[in-house]
Amino acid sequence: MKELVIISGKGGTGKTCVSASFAHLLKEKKVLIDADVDAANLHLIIEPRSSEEFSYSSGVKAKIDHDKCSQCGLCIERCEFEAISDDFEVNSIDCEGCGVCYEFCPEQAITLREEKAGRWFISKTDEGTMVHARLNIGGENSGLLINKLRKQASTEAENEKASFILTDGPPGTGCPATSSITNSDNVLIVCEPTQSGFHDMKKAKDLADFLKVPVMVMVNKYDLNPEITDQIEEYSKKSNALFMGKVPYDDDFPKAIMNKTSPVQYSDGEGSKALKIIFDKVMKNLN
Amino acid sequence: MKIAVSSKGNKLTSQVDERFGRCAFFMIIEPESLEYQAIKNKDSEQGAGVTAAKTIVNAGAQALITGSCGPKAFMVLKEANADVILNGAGRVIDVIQQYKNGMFHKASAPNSEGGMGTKKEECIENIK
Amino acid sequence: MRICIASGKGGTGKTTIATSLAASYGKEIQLADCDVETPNAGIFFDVSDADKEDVFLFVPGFDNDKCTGCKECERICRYNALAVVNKKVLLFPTLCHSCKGCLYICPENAVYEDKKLLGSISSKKLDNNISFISGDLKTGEMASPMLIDRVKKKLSPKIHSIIDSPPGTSCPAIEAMKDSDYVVLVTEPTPFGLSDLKLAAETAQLLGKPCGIIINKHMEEITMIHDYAKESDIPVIMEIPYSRDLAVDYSKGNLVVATRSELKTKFKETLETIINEHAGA
Repeated sequence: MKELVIISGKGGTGKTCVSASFAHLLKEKKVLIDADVDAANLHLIIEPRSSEEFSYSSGVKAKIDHDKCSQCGLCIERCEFEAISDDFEVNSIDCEGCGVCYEFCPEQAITLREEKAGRWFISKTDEGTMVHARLNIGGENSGLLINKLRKQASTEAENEKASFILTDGPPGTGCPATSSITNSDNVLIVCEPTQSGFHDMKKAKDLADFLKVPVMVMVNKYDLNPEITDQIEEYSKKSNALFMGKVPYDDDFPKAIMNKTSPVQYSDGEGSKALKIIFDKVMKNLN
Repeated sequence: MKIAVSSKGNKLTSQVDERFGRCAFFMIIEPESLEYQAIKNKDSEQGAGVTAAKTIVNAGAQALITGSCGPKAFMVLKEANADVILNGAGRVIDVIQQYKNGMFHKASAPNSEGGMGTKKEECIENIK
Repeated sequence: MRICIASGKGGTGKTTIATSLAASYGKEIQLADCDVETPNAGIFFDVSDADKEDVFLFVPGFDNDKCTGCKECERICRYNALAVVNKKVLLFPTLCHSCKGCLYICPENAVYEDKKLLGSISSKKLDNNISFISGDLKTGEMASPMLIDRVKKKLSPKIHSIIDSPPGTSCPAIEAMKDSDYVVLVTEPTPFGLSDLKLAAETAQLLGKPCGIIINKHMEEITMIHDYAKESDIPVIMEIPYSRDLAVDYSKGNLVVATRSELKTKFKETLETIINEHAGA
């Protein structure tokens, strides 16, 4: 089973364009994961033909029964998250579900309710089975949801005898990105040649390094700033990442998205050509 | 002495689950009599490795055979003086047999980076 | 007044807009970079000698002499951050959510307050009337909301603030948004931009915040954002036309309003309008 997780550090560098393109170029049987559970986009290009939907619960929220509450104030005093108001209402957005108020309420007036945190889907698409999710607003534990998606994708891959799992990763370098990358075999960082992009790419690389996952790097829209592109390339080489190539800014990319298709399917322009070359190189270098 | 094996199913003929923290079942086996207990793994949020380690220690296991084990689970097992055997594969019954034949050596370090919040963190005993 | 610059999608231009608004105002203003996992706003200013302070969170310490191995602390911890083995308590600090449950529950008083490094906060008064504050989360730590909360606590209520928020709609973004007076929704005229704008708008509305849309990389012929804005009764308060020139400048880490006086005026006017219409609401 081969695995590739596509991340970026910074948002907006073109991960989803690359993921959708790679999904199309991959001729072997594959399972796709959209691990950006906060703001999933892959399904906008690779549209589900049918989906099974599942509920996702995570953690608990406290609820105060006002009939039993004696207003002693111990819960307010002990809540580290300032989630209980002066009139003894739990703000469910601030409530972390730590259970401290529940444990110590002398009147046992507090209960903990399981929180429905989102939905996840197993979808059939033209590019194979896709596992994705939608975390509810204010949702936490997206890392756990991502774990669930990965586990499910493994199961689907086994059932279908697929040989590749491709993940469109989340932005950032926190717990969602960590959960997407950990214990996988290959990471591709899609960078943009900007100061911010370079800064965040380094953080993404640090993350992958600590998780001991080998890193490949590519630059999107490279002609925006060839100097920073070169710096990224040099940095990659110096820091033991494989530099896979660069893609020029190409109008066809946003046009492809508008047309709900991947850039490599939409045109054979400069961007598409460059991306195909990078795809081949990535495939050759997979662990 | 009881041995724990991370498993995909709840039978001795089930395949070893290569992950410990998020495996499907913990098989707690008495290697001589082959009596066993299958404990379903509750899919816990963070700290799955920690919970898994506690589960098998509480069930009386003094050794673990698994594919890979992350640093947190490893620390708990080390503290409990449980042996950890890594890179186990095949059916549960097979690895038990290999164990009985002395084919394994104990791991001295975890072989996986683990999951959430694992990077760069150390287990602190925080003893005054 | 606190103005949160948010977006569902990453890369739409939050930081460009947050820094531009702050730099165009001309009067005293605070700029807080709450995108603590990957703070970028500092790239556009000289923050070389900023004051830096470490931020700590509670973690428990355990007195082995008093501990009887009763496992009450392990039981109360919902985060699996504690493992009691042979009367010894193992702590996994990055799993700890600092709720202090273990501290309160221990029947032997064997738990004491210790701390772990969460990250740091940098602050500097910049040349153009900007008081700049930035949070930087330690790699491996997951409690972004806690650090964002600390960054916000450094803001003076007497001066207007602009909050550069993390992307998305999960708990870090909510933390940045929740005590703001107004939310600027930054988007781009693409299907992804629109899809994620809807999520961000839903979030702002869930929190009861007045909001307005800024369309970055705007193209006249694409009307999807304006269509959505009309349907959902959210005003488009500014458009920044797509400009490769601007993108190149941004890529170099330059403040885009530093060399574009017309754009600077537009930002200033947008900010003043927000303040006039919503301050003290």
